[in-house]
Amino acid sequence: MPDNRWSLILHGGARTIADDLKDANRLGCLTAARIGAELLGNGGNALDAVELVVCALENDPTFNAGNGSVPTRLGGVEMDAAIMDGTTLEIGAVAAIAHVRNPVVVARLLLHEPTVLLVGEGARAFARARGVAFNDTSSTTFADLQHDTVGCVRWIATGRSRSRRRPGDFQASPQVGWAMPRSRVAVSMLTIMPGVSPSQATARASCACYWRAALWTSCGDTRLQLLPARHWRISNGSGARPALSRSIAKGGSALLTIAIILRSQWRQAGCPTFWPVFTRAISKGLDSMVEASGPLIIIGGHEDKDGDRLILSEVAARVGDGKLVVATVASHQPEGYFEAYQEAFAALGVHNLVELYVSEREETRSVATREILADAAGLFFTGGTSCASQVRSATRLSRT
Amino acid sequence: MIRDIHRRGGVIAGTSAGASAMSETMLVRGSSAESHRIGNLNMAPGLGLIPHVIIDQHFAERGRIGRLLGAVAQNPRVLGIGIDEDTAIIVEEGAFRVLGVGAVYIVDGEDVTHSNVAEARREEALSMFGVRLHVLAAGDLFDLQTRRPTSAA
Repeated sequence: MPDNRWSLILHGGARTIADDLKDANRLGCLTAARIGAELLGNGGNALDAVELVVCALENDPTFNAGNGSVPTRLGGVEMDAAIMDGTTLEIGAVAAIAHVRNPVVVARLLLHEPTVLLVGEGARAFARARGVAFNDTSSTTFADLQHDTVGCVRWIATGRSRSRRRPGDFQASPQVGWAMPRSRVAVSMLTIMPGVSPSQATARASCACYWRAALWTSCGDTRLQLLPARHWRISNGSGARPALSRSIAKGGSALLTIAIILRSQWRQAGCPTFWPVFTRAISKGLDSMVEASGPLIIIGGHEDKDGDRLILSEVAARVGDGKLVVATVASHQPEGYFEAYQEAFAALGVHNLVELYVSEREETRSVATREILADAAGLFFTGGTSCASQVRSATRLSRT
Repeated sequence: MIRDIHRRGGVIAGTSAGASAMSETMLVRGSSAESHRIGNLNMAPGLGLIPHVIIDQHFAERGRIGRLLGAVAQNPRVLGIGIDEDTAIIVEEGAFRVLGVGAVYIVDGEDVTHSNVAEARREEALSMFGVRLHVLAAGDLFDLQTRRPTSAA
């Protein structure tokens, strides 16, 4: 059953804001949040919402993005934007693009293209070919020079029970790179570096992390060089989430411009004041990101099955009289795995053991599988004989 | 369905490949016979039950420290956790406890001052300075939020 609850998280840049700029920062965030919340409330999709919210932030000269972009040392404006669909892991990104009104719109257009990242002139030509709006005159208002850039995540709550903390499920996020296949980076880097030989380009593209690639290609940009690498990594490299959690760990003063809206709270409170909504939502949001409900027991392999069974005892103790499902999805040849565990767990007093062997993804969603998992007290993933088996088990079960 | 079990307080356990699949990102290939080469690593999305970490198993037995360092070098904000055979971590409330006969290695790249992962060629060896390594044994605790271990004693 699809769960239509969602959260929208956006930030206007993690930084301590001067007193005279606080109102403008708050207003800008709230306005953008309202636009996104309205779209999502009417059933709009995550990518549209994220794009729209970031456009609103880019249009507001208060923020260091789009209209308010801080100039480079040479006086020009070069903007970066990235957008990712967490469900498909597709990304689109532009870096060091000039003159377009909303860089995120160009990034969005790249989402379904074979090229993931375009920079500079190439990005601008692509934008022009796609009819993206340009600014004819260069912007004269800049955000505060130290202002970090903006970000937005639309995030679906997957929980049903309100009493439990909910694991967050990122659906669209500026956090790119980690899961992105290297080959796609290489391809796009080759695409975007005219005048560089293919071997040079491949060598330079051999980092899996897209944003570091973006940093690299923009290294002629004095604006980036002025920032210490670590700051850069946190603020731009990883999107909103680590910036949020780290800033909070440091006391949270830098988070003044971050607005989080949980729809239920938003609706209930009408138009609530910023801080209570923000603090409640952020604590909920962070909780659900870092904590989950039940225990995870992660084993390095070859756990003792016929001696003291130390580790399996721990699993048994937590399952008690309940049903333990043993998933043999990761094995090439599941025969024998289940029997071995059946014997080991029986000796530990767990008798309600059910095997779940999944050969195709479709089976995972079948009625029988649902029934097996419905009343399970625990789930045990066995090992496999090859690394590829990890991928299989994850892809088959990740959406279930 | 898996998340449902987890959410209502059920235990999710995994061993070997089943252990690696619990994190957001998992290592699916990478050499262990020699020092890590930049290009010698492949990652894929996992189940995402434990965020911001990458887990490797059969750790000491298969000499996987190199590939875990390589994974952390590629994304320094992710915590690398290497678990020996017949050893487990029990994750609850944002922290974990070590159980079993082997050790658990934690690679924290937060304070890395230099790495050649972005610039080097694929066949070059990894260079990384300032990486923090913890080795935990049975009973030791580790807080995933503060990234600090606590001794069993």
